[in-house]
Amino acid sequence: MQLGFYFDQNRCTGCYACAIACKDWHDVPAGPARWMRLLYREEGKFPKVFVSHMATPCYHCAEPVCAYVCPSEAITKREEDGIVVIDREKCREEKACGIISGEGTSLLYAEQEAPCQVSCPVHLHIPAYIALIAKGRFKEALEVIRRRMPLPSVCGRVCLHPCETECRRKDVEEPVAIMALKGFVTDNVPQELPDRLPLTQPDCVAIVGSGPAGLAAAYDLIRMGYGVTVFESGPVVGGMLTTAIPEHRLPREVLKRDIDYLEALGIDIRTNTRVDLGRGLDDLLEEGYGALLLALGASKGQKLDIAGANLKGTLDGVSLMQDIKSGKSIELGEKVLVIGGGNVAIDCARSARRLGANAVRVACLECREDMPAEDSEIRQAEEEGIEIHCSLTSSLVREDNGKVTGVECQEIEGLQFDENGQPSFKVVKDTGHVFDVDTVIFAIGQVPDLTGLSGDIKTSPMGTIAADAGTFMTARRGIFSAGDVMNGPTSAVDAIASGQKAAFFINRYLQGDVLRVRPQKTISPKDITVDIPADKEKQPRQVMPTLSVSERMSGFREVALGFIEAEAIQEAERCLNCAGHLCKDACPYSAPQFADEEKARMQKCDLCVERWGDGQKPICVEACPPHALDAGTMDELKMKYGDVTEAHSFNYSRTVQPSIVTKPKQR
Amino acid sequence: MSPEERSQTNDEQIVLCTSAFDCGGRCPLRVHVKDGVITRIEGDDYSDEDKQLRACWRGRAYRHWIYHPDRLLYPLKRTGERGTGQFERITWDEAMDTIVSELKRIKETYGNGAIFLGGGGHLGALHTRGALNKALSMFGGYTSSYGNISSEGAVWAVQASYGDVMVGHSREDMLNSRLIIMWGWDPVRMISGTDAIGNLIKAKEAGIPIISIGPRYEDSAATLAAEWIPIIPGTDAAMMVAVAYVIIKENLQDQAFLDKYTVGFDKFEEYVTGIEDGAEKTPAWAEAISGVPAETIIDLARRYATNKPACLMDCQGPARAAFGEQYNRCAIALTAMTGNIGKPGGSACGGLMGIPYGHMFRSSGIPGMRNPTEVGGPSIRGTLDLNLRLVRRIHTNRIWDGILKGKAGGYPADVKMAWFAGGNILNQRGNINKGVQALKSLEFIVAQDLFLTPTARYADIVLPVKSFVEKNDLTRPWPSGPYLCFSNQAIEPMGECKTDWEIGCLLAEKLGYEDFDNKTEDEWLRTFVSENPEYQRFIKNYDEFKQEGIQRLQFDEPYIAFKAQIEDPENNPFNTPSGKIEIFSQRLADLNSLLTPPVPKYIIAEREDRNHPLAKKYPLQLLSPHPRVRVHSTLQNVDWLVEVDPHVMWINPADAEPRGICDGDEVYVFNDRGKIAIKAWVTRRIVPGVVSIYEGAWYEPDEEGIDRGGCVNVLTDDTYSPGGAAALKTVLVETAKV
Repeated sequence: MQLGFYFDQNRCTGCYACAIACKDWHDVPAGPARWMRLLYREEGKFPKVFVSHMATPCYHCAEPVCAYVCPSEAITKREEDGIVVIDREKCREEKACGIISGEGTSLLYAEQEAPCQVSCPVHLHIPAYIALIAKGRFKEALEVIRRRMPLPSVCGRVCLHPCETECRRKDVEEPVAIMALKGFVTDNVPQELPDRLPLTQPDCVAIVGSGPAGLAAAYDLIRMGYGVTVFESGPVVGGMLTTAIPEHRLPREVLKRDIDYLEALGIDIRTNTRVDLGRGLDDLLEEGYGALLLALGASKGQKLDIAGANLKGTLDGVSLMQDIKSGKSIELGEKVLVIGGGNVAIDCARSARRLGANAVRVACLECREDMPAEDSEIRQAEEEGIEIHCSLTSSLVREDNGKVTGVECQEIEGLQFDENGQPSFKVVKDTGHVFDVDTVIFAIGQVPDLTGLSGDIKTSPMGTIAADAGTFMTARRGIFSAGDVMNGPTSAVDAIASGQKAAFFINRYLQGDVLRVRPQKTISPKDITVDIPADKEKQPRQVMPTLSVSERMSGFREVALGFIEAEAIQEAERCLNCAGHLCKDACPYSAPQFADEEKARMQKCDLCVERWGDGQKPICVEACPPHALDAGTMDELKMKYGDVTEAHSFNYSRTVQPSIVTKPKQR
Repeated sequence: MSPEERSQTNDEQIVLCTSAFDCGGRCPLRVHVKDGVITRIEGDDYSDEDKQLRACWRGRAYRHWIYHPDRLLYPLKRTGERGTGQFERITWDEAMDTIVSELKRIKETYGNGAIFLGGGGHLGALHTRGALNKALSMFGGYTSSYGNISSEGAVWAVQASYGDVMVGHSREDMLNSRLIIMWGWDPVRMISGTDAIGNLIKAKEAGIPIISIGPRYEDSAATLAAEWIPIIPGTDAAMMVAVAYVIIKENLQDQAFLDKYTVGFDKFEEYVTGIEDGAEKTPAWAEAISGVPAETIIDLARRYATNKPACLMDCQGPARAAFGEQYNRCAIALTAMTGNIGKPGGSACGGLMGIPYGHMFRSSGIPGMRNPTEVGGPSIRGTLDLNLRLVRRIHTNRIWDGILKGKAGGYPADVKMAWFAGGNILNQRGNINKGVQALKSLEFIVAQDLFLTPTARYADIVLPVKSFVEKNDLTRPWPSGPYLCFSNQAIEPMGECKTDWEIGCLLAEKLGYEDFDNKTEDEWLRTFVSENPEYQRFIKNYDEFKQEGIQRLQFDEPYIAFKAQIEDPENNPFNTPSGKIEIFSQRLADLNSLLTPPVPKYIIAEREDRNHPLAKKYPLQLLSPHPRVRVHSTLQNVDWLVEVDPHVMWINPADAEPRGICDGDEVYVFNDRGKIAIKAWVTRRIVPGVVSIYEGAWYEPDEEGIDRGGCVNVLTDDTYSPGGAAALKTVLVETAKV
């Protein structure tokens, strides 16, 4: 038997009698612990306003993710009636759940966040999905990831993972392999395509560019109920993810997995559709799109402004990667120098090796520690025989009969970058030498291609689109910008975060709301003090298995092989669970509650378990003045009110199977 | 159960209570008591679940009000400057001796008129300020205020039109309608009968279209209404007149009804069509005033006139404005024109919504005595001439002006002391800063209340009062039953609290009035039940009634206002001079004032709205609706309530954006009368150019005089309309980010 709730959104007046009656019956003091919450949503422009509420107690899920994730096993689901109950004596007693010292953050227990989550640009509930992986709950872990992450497979492979930089496990020995664990669940949970989402908003949004920023915005906007069309000028979806990241790091079919998921939700992606950035934008608005998002990325490669940079045998890295990925036949020399220190540079170097170049070198301005490329990438490049030459500036490409013969370089010191990303340094005297090469690849960053951009959309001195940092709106009302086209070249996860923020402001714009929001208090991961138990046993980080170098050189097979299940679980178990409250973070409804008290232990709706014995229903049900709430066995409720219906625009989970029948509000 | 018995048992008891606040509902509460302490409060458990009288969120939070740490438990004496809140505990003897000595001094020095008695407080039968009225009348009398801050516009309108205040239908009668128009009515928030919202939801589910008209997209509209017609505040009468215009032009009026039951429709028609003044009151005319598109007005008029029966529900809020009574008068004209009066599914309008069963107007009380200061004044019974009513009394929204100006200013007395029996008058009347001046000018002030309210902070002596669970009383469902309640004592009195009745008796004792009151609480309540015709009819057994806490009245059909007058007009004339519904009132014509015209009108005259010159400086109109989480200023600071609905100012994004205001920002709201600090709630649920702040938040001035409590009456004006309505919603302000 499963007891649960019925909630009729059409009857709810938003009065909170349920919530207050609940506090009175269970003697819960005023404060953050709210067993019954009433979520409020206001939609539509004045005067076409639409208001709805969602009663949000604990839904006593058939698959209680809170119970699965709890390290203390304090949460159990009762066999006899399906009520999910908490043993508060066990909560946070047997094992540590939350070891952040209050100092520095001055937040309540339930508001504290782990350094990894704080540092994640999209603010993923990292400890919650790591804990679910540790418990072998991979499907649930993926759902937690998907709540905020549009491209989980991508970010399981090519993320810059600032979370790992901040992971406090490093104070014991090494950080948790967070990115690889994310990659593990995306590889190991069989892909189930979601149903198409209903369009509940009158507006559609046009997104120009199908890179990570555009797709992230599309994902959020379609979940808000908007129609979304993504226009991609090229033949493939994914922007730089597809065109510039080599197969050995991000195989095409992995990216396709994420894109298939997004398309299944109803996002209309139109490839080979170039939007003219002048008249074309007007056309889209005239066609009826309520807002536009320019997420064109920064994909135009650059070369250094030095003599010989345009000789035959010189090319830019992005074009090279695009040519490789699109299957063009590539002719490279034997001796290649890649100029640049970022991931694109390393990608070019490793690709050059795979294309048969024998001597591949990378020369960059940065010293080794400061190279923007990922450490593991550099290491693997070196394994593949690539030489890395740091702290060098290239001043001339030598030629012989129009063919490249070498590059002159000098050592530098005092490297600095200004706010526009322009370097300055001193050349060290008498350090010039010449690399003997026949091919030079410039991988020194990309700029947006804004050819034909409408004059009323302003640009910055860096060649990016100038948008209001507080609203993401360009100088033209209704046209927004996000990702690299606005910020210059960044990482995939930064572009995703930027697209999400743009979606947030586009929603406010389309709702006729004030665009700007009050700045939120932000906490730097550095300010979080984690009290790691002194006796914490050392347990080394799982090493990611990779292809052997010889296997790698035979083509573009993915180098990282991924964890097997046992490795993933073992790695996930290393998480210190700094912030705790995993139950709250894992629950799609945030039903677990914590009061403002010394030793905050979880509390939540228990479906008034003791009242049923007296033949009464939960107090919220009996208190509801308009009779919008009911409770009973799920079978009875479905019989009486019809089957489960999704209350769109409010959180909903397929994985956990909430015990609630909802009658959604009629529009 | 006696207190002794109560204290002897350790088991949990359930005691039947109801609050007796100035609230639009009255809800049976099952109060759980263990070891003399309330542990939980449950609502009505009537077997017919559908007809349960379920308490609202306020009722659910009472435990934290009753046991609020700020409850006054002992009499207090002021020790610091007025308003600073410095007091010390004294005994009841000292408190009453001080009061008696001051009363005597004031009376001897200035006469009885110098004593002002005001307040509201408990709305039961016994524990009201009735005993205090009587004791002070025996003492030679006192000055009091005229009018009800809530409803004067509506009362004046129904008196002019019907000569009767019982203009409501049973709420379930709305199910008989084919169209329901909520015009300035939000029963979800201000309740209007515990059973109102339930019946409206049934109506909605039965497919009856519901339209909401008002400057805010109210909770009721959000729940019930398929359509919201936003309107500029203060312009309802103009839109109503235009609705009448469409009905007349399209000949949709129920002429037979008008001919048979009303007088003066022709005069109204002359006004509407412009024969009277040359101005046709077309939908386009009304659009320019109200902001409601002409086509919307036309559509509404046609639907209202052709869907019968139709229920037009006006209320009292829009009437709390300059010329506010015209809104109710116009609504009455419309319901008469459509022949919806006295019929199932119709409505009589007039905003009062009361039915004559369980109505608080028909409550019992201890026998009073005529206030000697009012003896010899003009006869005011039923008069529409406000001036007559203000010969011996001060208008309730002009108390401060009356105190400051006295007889020289045309007021009936020079007030030197005030006794506030609850009511938190300073907070709940217009223009608080003037009120502060007035209170500071007085020689002596007494306040009795459960809390140290903003009013009590200015008192010299503060007396602590019991809450409803600390006494027994008869309570009533305010305007809408049909049921009668008995609220039982659940716990022993807190501290040294007394009821308003006990304080009145104590005063009489101190004044030496022997035999002032010889009855016990129980004797009084039994007497009330045995002597009031309504209790006589419906209560067969007092003890059972007390035990059950409620007597539900069963009728075969819903109560319909004026059903008798419509069904049999010969034998049941309306209580007007003509015996008919007076669309044209000769009594008003006799007043000979353009501001109280004999037919309903939208009065063209200057008022503090968006057309006023002041709007350049203060461009926003301010609304002050009833709060959701308080009953006026009662239930302030109940933490369970505050956390679900913090005190905010509603502002449309169109007004917030240019002022740089984000949702949640702290803002100042100000005009020449004062300045308050409050948080902004940016919402599309309010008409641009209008901001809204719930009344009743407690005034809390800082050193610069800025009210940190966000009390809207710092900004409202102490004026009243020609019909006597407190014009609290005719206010201009500006707002800016702090």
